[in-house]
Amino acid sequence: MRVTKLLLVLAAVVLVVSIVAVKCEHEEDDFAEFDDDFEEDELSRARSRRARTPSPQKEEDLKETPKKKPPTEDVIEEDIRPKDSGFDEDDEANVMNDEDDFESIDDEDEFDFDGDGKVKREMPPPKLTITSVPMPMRGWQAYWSELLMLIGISVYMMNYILGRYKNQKIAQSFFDINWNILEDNFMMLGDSTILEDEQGTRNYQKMSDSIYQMWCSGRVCCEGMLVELKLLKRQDLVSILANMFRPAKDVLRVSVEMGREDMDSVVFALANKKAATKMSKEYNDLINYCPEKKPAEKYGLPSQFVVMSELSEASSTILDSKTCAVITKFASLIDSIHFTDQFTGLRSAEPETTKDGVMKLPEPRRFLFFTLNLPTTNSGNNCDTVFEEMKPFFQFIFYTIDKMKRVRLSKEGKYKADRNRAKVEEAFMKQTHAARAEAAAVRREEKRRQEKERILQEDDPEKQRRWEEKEQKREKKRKQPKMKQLKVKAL
Amino acid sequence: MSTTTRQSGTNAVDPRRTDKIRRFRVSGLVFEDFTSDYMSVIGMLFSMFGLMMRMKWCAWIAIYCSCIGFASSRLQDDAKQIFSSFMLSISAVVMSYLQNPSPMTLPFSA
Repeated sequence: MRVTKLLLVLAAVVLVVSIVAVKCEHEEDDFAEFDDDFEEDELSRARSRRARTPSPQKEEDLKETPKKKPPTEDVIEEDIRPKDSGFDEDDEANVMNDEDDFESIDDEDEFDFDGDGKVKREMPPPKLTITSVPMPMRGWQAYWSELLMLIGISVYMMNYILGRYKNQKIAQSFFDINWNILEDNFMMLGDSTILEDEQGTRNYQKMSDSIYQMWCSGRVCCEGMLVELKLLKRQDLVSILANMFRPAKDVLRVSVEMGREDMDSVVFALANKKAATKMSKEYNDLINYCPEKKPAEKYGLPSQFVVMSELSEASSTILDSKTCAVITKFASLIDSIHFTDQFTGLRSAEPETTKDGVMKLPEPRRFLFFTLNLPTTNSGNNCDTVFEEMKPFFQFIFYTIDKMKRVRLSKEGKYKADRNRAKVEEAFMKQTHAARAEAAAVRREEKRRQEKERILQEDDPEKQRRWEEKEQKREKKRKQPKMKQLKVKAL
Repeated sequence: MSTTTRQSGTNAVDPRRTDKIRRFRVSGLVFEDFTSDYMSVIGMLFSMFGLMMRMKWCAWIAIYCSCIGFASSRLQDDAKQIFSSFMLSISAVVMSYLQNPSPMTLPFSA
């Protein structure tokens, strides 16, 4: 059985091979036929041409008889061909070569039928100017720039995947290392979508491939704490290249929102010189309450820092020995520390407007901001050690939250602070006076228009007439120049 | 010392409080990054140039702009915008090569 099976398989294989071979042969034959046809075709054409062309003897006869007609193309072709040779393979080459045919036009004897060069004078040889056309590049080598572009895109995409993974790893490491301390301080970790759920999502939130954040809430002395990580855009190759020229660092910002009764009137900021310049231009509260910068050496801090404070007593209370020690220890990391009870956002933000279009001062909120520049490398390999070393700083944040609850200004300090707040509000009112007056005028006009419509809709003409009279009187009064009348009693 | 401190009556052992749980509110300070928006605008301009002026290098740069916009986009950003940016830039490349399949001539080499 096995032998018969083998034989059958063998037979099948032989059959298939033979079919394929026959097919190939057939294809080759097809081309061969085409070649034959082509050769036969060319030969028959040449033969017919030869048959049509006059023999040398006939040509002599033709020369004898005066000829009026210009010679045909066939005649020209025949003339340039060697007359004695038959039509062999070399002749075929001549037939195919068009350039040789055109060269024969330049031959002076060609049109000299009369012998006196009459035709030659009438038909001068055309002057062909051949411009040098650059030879276009052939093949894929010409598309080198496209290839370069495609390689660039693939490199960018590979870097995107790699950079994204690196950032994810850094964020994960940060929240893993600090998880315990956050869990010990807050009831809810992660923003909860359901208010009843006290556990929260218990995970950080990814805002983009380089920004991660986590909202923590449920602690005494504060409303909540937002931990934000702004990492380098490791997923963007262009940003990586830009970082080479202008080095940047990963940034950690912790924003603690304090309750209304958890913080006294304090506006204070400590920042390195570069950040201080930027903050003093951008932050509304620092612009209004802390116009001057003091060197930090005064408080026993490194010289790279600048202190901005509304009241000097507040800064000396905040910068106690423990705080100064922590700041000195983490001096290389700290970008800024900013405590404010008057946080109204950045200067660029537009003032709030009510439904009536009245501009009002935005509701101030109480915040403690801690901004750090992390010394993580571009590859992010040292993130674990960096975050482990940073753990005491988190303890310091909670220490500060508790401390700010306890800090209370003296009577004079409180009076000064309140006066400053009133001044700022007054300045805002003055600044927005024109806008508010305009809004009030619009409201008045709208009210009058509605009243007019109401009166016009009424059927009583007497009432309408009275209203018009009243309106005219009012208009007249409004147009009159305002002046005071002084009554002088005659003695 | 001109300031007075007073002890709060809070429990120092466990600072966690259920009644203090609040929903997340934006502080007003956000890490702003407009790269994605800029790139979508620039990418659209380059795509238009690539399509209308038949500049192949413009169409290629539009693809790069779309890639950078995609890499810098926020999760809450509209995915349709990024997708349309990609489609526009790719169609600019395809159309320019369908019209003229010859290799690209770079602006500085011409």
